Amino acid sequence: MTNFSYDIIVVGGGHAGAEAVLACNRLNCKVALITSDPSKMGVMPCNPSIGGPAKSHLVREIDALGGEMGKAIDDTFIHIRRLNTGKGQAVQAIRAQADRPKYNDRICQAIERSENVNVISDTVIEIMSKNNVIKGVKTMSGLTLSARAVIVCTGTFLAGTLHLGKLTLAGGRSGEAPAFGLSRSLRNLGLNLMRLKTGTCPRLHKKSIDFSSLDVLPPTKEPLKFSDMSDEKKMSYDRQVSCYITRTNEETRKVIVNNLHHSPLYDGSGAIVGVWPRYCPSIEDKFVRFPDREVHLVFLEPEGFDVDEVYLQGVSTSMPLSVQYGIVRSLPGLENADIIRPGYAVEYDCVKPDQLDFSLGVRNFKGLYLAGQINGTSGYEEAASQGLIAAINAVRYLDGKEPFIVGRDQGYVGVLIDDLVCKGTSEPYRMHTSRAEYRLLLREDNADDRLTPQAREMGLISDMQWQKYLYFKNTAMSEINRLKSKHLNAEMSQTLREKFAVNVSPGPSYAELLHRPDINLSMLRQVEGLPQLELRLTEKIESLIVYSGYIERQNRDVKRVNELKCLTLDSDIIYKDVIGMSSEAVEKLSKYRPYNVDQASRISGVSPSDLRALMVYLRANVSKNN
Amino acid sequence: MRSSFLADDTIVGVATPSGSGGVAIVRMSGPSALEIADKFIRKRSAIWQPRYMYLCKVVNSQEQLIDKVLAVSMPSPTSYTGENVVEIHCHGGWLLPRLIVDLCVSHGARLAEPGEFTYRAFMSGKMSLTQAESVLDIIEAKSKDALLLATDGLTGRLSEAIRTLKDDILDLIAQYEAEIDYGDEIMTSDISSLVIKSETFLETVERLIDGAYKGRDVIDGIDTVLIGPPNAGKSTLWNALIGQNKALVTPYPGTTRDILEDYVNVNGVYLHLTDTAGLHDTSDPIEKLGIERAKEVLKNARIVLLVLDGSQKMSEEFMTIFSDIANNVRTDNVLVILNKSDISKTISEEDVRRILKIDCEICQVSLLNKSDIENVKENIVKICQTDMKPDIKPISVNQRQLQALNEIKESLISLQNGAKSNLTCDCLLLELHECLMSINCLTGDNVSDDIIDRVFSKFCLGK
Repeated sequence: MTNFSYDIIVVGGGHAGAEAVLACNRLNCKVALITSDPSKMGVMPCNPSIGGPAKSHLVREIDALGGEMGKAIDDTFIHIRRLNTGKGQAVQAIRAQADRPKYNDRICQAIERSENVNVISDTVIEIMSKNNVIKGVKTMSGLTLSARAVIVCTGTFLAGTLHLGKLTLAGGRSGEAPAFGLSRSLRNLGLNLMRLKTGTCPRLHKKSIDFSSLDVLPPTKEPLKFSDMSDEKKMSYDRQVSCYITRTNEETRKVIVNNLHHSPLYDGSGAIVGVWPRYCPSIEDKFVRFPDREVHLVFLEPEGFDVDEVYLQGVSTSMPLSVQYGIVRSLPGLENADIIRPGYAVEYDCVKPDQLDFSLGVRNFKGLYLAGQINGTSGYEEAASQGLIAAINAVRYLDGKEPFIVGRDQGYVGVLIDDLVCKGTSEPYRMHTSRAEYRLLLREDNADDRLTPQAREMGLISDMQWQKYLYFKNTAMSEINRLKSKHLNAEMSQTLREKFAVNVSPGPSYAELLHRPDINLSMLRQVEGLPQLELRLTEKIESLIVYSGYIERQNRDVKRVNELKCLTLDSDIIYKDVIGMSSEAVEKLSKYRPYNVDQASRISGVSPSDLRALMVYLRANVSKNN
Repeated sequence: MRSSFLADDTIVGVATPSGSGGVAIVRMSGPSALEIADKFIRKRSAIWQPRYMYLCKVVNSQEQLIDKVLAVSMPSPTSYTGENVVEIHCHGGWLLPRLIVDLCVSHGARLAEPGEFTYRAFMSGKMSLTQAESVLDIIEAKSKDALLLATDGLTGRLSEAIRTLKDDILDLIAQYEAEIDYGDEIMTSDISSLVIKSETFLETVERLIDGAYKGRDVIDGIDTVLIGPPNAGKSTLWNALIGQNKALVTPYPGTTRDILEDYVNVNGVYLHLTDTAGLHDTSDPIEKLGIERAKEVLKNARIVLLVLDGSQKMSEEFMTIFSDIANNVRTDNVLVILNKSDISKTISEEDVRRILKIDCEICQVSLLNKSDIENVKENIVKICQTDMKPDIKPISVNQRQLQALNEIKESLISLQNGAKSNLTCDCLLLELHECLMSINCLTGDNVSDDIIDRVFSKFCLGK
């Protein structure tokens, strides 16, 4: 048997696997990507869109760490839109509809062009280790590949089962075979697995839809982009297409309610055991759980410039095809619509994420990393950001370096990993802005300030990106200083009043003026006769000024929490010996084994008085050992 | 979590049992203890020699004398807590230690939580392992304290009101969080409704705070202060109310030099009665001190009993002093007792109102006459009842809970200001979360995932 040797092996070529191999490539590691179908790398099996609140923040963080996702979507979007305008810059987000086949091609090309990456079409059936140190993998076709680190990014393929009405098929995605042996191998390594479920919607023929009667959701007319490295001039802003909205009605309700017995969710058969995410309810779920709500919105999203398929966002279902036709054709504009591919539910194995440490490595193992849906998350952006972090840490492990851990105050990806490790999850975990307690610090406009310097140091940032980062940073700083020192004089306030009909009087600094909701930076620069700054810079500057007070408040909280972070908890603490701690806290702390008091404080069921008791215990042990 | 688990701030508390004792000790511990003490302690020496007792003056923000005290500093690490400690040995009783604690707080100290001095002592290694258990008893007492909220009859009201408030705040948070995370699926709500809502929340909390003060009235008595020019009959009234000759009564003005205090049940109303030195300008330094203190006491007074000698013309001197202190008095709570009507009625009720420029209840009496005393008592009860805000129900809270209530109020004010100034959703949420945190501080709850749970139970979200 032939033996191939790599630094790192990545299992799976979805969004996590793709970012993982590309990061390994940037860090000059010899990496093998093993995937059953190399033409499907970076494919979007669910909705053909990237971004949205918290998710676009993740993409910006991926970009700030030198990752691929932002650049890929910038190159291939067919519709881009800004969300949450007027709700504050910290929660403003962008979302893009991708050209599905083009995005897929774009990722395949990036991987194929990577010097250090070897793509192998195969299925991994076993992870090899000795004394909890990773040695390599074995594949279905009999290959043995050795590597010191393995990153597992299997998505929904681990023992995947598809449900369509009464029909149950083994499969990872529609039309693709699942991976079976690997679940057993992970169990043999001692890992606890659980079953999760997600679903997708029927796709329709574009030609069979009557768009004329539907509400139009046009793209935003701004040069929006995810990556600082993308060139606006080369982007397809002019060619964009629209999305459309239709609404459920009484007929839809009747079809669903009368056919509930056909749904594997409600037929009482117990065919589906996996936990369905609450934020992605099936259409039958929506009608059952919210019976009073008369209308549910349905979004029609085109899947590409030259693609006939339209994604029916909001109608995720596992009903049989005949019922899916009933639902679809009850919707205005879709009276004659044809289904290309039915929606389905997919159940898959994943690893209980509280077995991970903050590097995304499996605790007590050397060289085993997990990223993406296998960790119980959901979403392309969540998966990609984990793939990137897991790869960085796998490489650092090979180099004998400390893991790279993003703090909750440094990035959504930090919040994501911290939540998984400290709390685990019982449903597919999706990123929400509400999960981030330092939301005002984690803005789109400062992802580079938060992460790029560290990424540069690790070797992930090209010279060009680094120059761009420095340019944004320095320009923003000097403009802010200028705005602080310059005060509105009589002449300027006159011009402002005349041009923009705002009520101002001389005196305040320009920075102070920007705190007003009716005045923005481009107005000021226009009055001053200065050229407009690019959108990206304008936003950076405005939010640094407008949020300064809040940023200070949140920074104070961060400082306090950082002190608790310094109080580390050994892995061998016997919590039931801690005097005065509630039994619930003992149970939770013994289970999650937080690394420090800060993490302990975030575990539900651990009260402030439990923490005090814990600190008394820590203190007592210090004095005992001295 | 409001209070830090690590000693980065300075805490203050009264170390001696409250109420009784001639001397009380106010203890301050933390990095800024000396710095804070220097803000209101005036002593001859510019330095604090460790463990050296200084005779010094405690002054308020207007540099007015509050008390003469003994103060001692114990710098880190050789102190009880291992931190910088300042102890102020002041006059005892109910009011003075509290005033000094208030001064410390106003200069940056934080009210110590139960057991916190001991906790800090332990954390800085000033205690052995075996002592740890007793510390934990105290720490546990704190959570029991929060538990009591739910069980005690009086505080049950607080607990219920706070639960409702917390529920409303959580609903608002869920609403805004959903609007942000699912912006294209649900309608954006009108921020102006938040202005009205926060107003309602504020009213609720203010009523709770009123109730808390009322609850304290039940336990601590209503602060009632006797003032008036010397020899007008304050001590006679005192003795008539208390029922024993505690105050020294002589025909000579200025006999009552120090502040006397006691608790008395007047026709079913519980009063915390304080007698002050006669108000007149004097060069006697000790008496001067008494007058300054009387002014401080008046600031906190809920009922003022102004005793005047109706048989004599009011002295210019008294009128000057009275107009000086009048700012500190709520005139609707003043009862003027125009004494010595048996000698002569030289001053009429109209004279009092005109000269002192106050509109208040006046009773013309002779305090030597028993039935006249009853008349005064009835008038006191009448004022108490109008002041009591009959629609406010008393609740029983301790100092920590009252402080937490005030913090909730502050956070609600901040929320309301934010809503009024059209803050964006992301910042308003920060304010709302602060409100939630201050509420959790009172209830002892931990913030958990329940916001996301609420979002999904309230709204049908997700495509």
